[in-house]
Amino acid sequence: MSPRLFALVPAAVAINLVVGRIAAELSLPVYLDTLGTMLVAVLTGLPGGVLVGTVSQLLAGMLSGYQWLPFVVIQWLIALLAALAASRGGFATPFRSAIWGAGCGVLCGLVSAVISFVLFRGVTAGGVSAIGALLRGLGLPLSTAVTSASLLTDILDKTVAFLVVGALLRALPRRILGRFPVAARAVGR
Amino acid sequence: MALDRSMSFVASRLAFRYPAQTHKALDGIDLTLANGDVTWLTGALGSGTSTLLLTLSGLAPRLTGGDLSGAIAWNGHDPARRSPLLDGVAWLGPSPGQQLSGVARNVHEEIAVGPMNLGWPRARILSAVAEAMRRVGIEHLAEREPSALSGGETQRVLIAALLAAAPLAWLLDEPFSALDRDARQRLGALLRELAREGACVVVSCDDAEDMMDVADRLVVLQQGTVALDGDPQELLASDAMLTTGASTTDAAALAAAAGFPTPRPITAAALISRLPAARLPIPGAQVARPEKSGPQRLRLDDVHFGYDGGPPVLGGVTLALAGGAAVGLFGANGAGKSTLLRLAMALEQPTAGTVHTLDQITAGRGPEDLAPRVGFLFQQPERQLFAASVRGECSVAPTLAGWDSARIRTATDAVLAELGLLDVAEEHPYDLPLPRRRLVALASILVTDPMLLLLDEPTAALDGASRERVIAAVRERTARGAAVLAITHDATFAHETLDRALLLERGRIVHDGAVRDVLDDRSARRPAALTAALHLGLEPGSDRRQEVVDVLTLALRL
Amino acid sequence: MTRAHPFTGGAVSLAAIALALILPAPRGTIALYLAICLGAWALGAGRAVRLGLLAVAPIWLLLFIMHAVLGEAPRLVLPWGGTLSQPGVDWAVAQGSRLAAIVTASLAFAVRFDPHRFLQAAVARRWPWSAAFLLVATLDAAERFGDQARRLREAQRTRGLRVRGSLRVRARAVPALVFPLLLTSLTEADDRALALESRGLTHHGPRTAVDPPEDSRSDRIIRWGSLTVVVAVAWWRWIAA
Repeated sequence: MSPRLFALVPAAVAINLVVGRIAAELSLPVYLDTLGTMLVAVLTGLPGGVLVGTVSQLLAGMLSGYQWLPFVVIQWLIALLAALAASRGGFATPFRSAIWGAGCGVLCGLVSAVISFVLFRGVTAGGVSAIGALLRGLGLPLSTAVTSASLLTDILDKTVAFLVVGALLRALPRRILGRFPVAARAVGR
Repeated sequence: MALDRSMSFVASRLAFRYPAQTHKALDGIDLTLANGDVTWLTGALGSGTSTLLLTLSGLAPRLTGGDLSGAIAWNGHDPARRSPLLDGVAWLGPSPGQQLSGVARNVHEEIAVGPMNLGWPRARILSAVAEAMRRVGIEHLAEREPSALSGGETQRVLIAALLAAAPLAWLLDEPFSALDRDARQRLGALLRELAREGACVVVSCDDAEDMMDVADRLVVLQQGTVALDGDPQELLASDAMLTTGASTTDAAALAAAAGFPTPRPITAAALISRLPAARLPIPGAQVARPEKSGPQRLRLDDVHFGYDGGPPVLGGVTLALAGGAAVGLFGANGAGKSTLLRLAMALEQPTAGTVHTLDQITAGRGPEDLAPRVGFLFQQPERQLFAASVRGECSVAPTLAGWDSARIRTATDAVLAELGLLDVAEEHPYDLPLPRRRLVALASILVTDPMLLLLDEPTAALDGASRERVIAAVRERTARGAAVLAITHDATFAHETLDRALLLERGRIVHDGAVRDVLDDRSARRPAALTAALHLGLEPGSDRRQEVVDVLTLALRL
Repeated sequence: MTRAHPFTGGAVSLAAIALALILPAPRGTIALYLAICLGAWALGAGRAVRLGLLAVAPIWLLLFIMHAVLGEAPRLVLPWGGTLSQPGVDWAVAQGSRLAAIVTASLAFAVRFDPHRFLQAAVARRWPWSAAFLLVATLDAAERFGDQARRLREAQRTRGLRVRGSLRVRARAVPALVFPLLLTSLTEADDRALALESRGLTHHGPRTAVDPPEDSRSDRIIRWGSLTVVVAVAWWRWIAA
């Protein structure tokens, strides 16, 4: 592991946690708790992002129970898609960021619906399950309710997350761009 | 410990460029540093002193990226292979808060981190840690939590942490910056001791007063090359220093401004010894400053405050500030200085009593209700910047206040010109060196022309030129009718901007008077301008720099 | 009372989590949950029980609504009117007790976790340095960033930023509250890497534990005992049956 990852990974995990808390304090309808994972994946590549995602999920386990550990797959998926988007100029404009974000949301929503349905029969923590219960109450079958709830929340969350990361990347100081040459490609320069 | 004199740093035709930069930070440096010497590196902002330390340690370009040409040898080999600590080189960066390991529970463990990583036997580590704490004089901090230390304490812990690993060479970047006067003297003595024991000590330092009695050799860099190299006392007394843009001692600067011939006096005592003993009749210098009687900007009436469940922090503070007043808050840590500023900004509400900020009572209000007519400068204000350009950053507060774009443009132009930032208006704030980034933060607050300024250590970690900007800006604001309430440890700032000092002790104002009564020579070094003013018997309040220069000029002519 | 070795608490918590997944629900998991609560309380981690209740209460509520109320037939007729799904109630109780056991065991570990003793133990046992460092440094960073976020919020409010109001107002506060955190962490990453490197923290080599926690006989007995219990219960549950 490079000295830079020694420095970056703890900071990025802390960002996941703290920005997630800021979004909750502002009562926003999104989680924004994967920005650190995305940034490190974009700036240093997939392995760094996966590392941040894994450590984040382990830390989250300490704070809210290790039952949610299977959702680490979602962190990896986000790292993968953020790194992929970076290599394809996916953050060049707000529009492109939103498209990649929505795509990431669809994939994450589907995978977390599978985890949520198979392992937890649709009841995990937070707003997703509440929306799922609401849809179920409206008469939808359990699998449909869980999937729709996951898709709905994840598409919104990931679109906003990609928009935020894109806005940051497009306005990075030269000094950071010089240290992370990949960032220039991510915004299509 | 007998050391071979050949074990030292040798740089030949050394050049270095940071990634994504067009200019070279170092450009053709030839330098041989001897063991047993304290070498002082200085230069104007951006002259390359920090970069030189990084390349000598081998950390640049290995960690920073960038291109290096030429050659460096430490102890006969290339330093750029592994952690400098493993090769007996101690490097200390400029921002103490960033340097803590983050893995230590207390100061004792923090100091043991280096030897632990070197894999020394446990008994050797324990004795090295104890010895390092003793030499730096921080035994009393042993059980403290590293993250809860003050900046100065952190700096001393870090020096002890490096010392414990028994390095043969020291590369220190602004090691004095967060220290109080006693700690500065102690560190200077330690550096001399280390050199006497045979270590090669290299210090980058912007403050001449700290190093002039400590250094054996002064190397002044200018745009990445060696501009001057010689005896510190001789160079400081000469004209050469001034042309490089490096800061010199306050006494030398005053002497130069007053037109003294070289070699100039470089200490306050030497400066005074050149003055005639008799009092001088000085026209203009004895004009008392007008009483501050503008409209009220801040009023505290019998304010009590305590944080939830904690002991009382303020116990009955009454205070009024009129427009044009500049008042300093002094007192030990925990005396309630920051709390008082926070109450004035409605970041806290008093448990009893009332706070009136401008014409509003703070009860039921938050800081966003007082903005933008009150400006609050936090410590480390550069950490709040987020716009993509300096101009954009200055537009944040006026935009939030609903100003139209033409008005914003005029106001940002004016404030950027005032703080000397117009040439970087379109730059990203994070591309600027730290002192200028701090100026950007100050500009982003002054832009709305606040009528009350609450400043928490406004000149911390600034270089000489940036500090002058801050001093000028604060004086300009009080002249325009704003009131200033500032916490500061900077004697020059205090003496040149403040006209009253409040001393807080355990949540009460115990003294209200002249700055010089409160800021004694022990806690902060008096600038030579003040020492000279006192010697000349100028009226209280006339210890301002220009007045002293006028007197000196006159004295020289007589 | 001498403190247990840092690995002992981790082993017991892991064993409890494994048992929650192995033991038959609901009787096994309910008994386990009660045992964990009792154990946590006895070992001075009573806070974990309270925090655990706060964490699982919404999950219990959702389980009740999603499965007991909205679940499949056959329905149970309640004496005071209304019906509940029989399989839904079974699942809600089974899953509710299982999750409660896992949450409480995780939190009990977290409440008693001492990063510095853990690091010393890991160094003494020659565990991979990067993994141990990352865990401990992350907890430290989380605390520092939390403080920074709080200060930042205050600083931006003094510049006139509003953090309450309509969704539009709150959404527009995001850059001011989030970008400085990201920008400073990226610009400071190099400074931080330099600091870690210069203190020898990124060096891969043998290290010395300055203050290695004592690993007593009873610690070892408890760790091996935990493993034995898990293996025995798994054998009883899946192979013997």
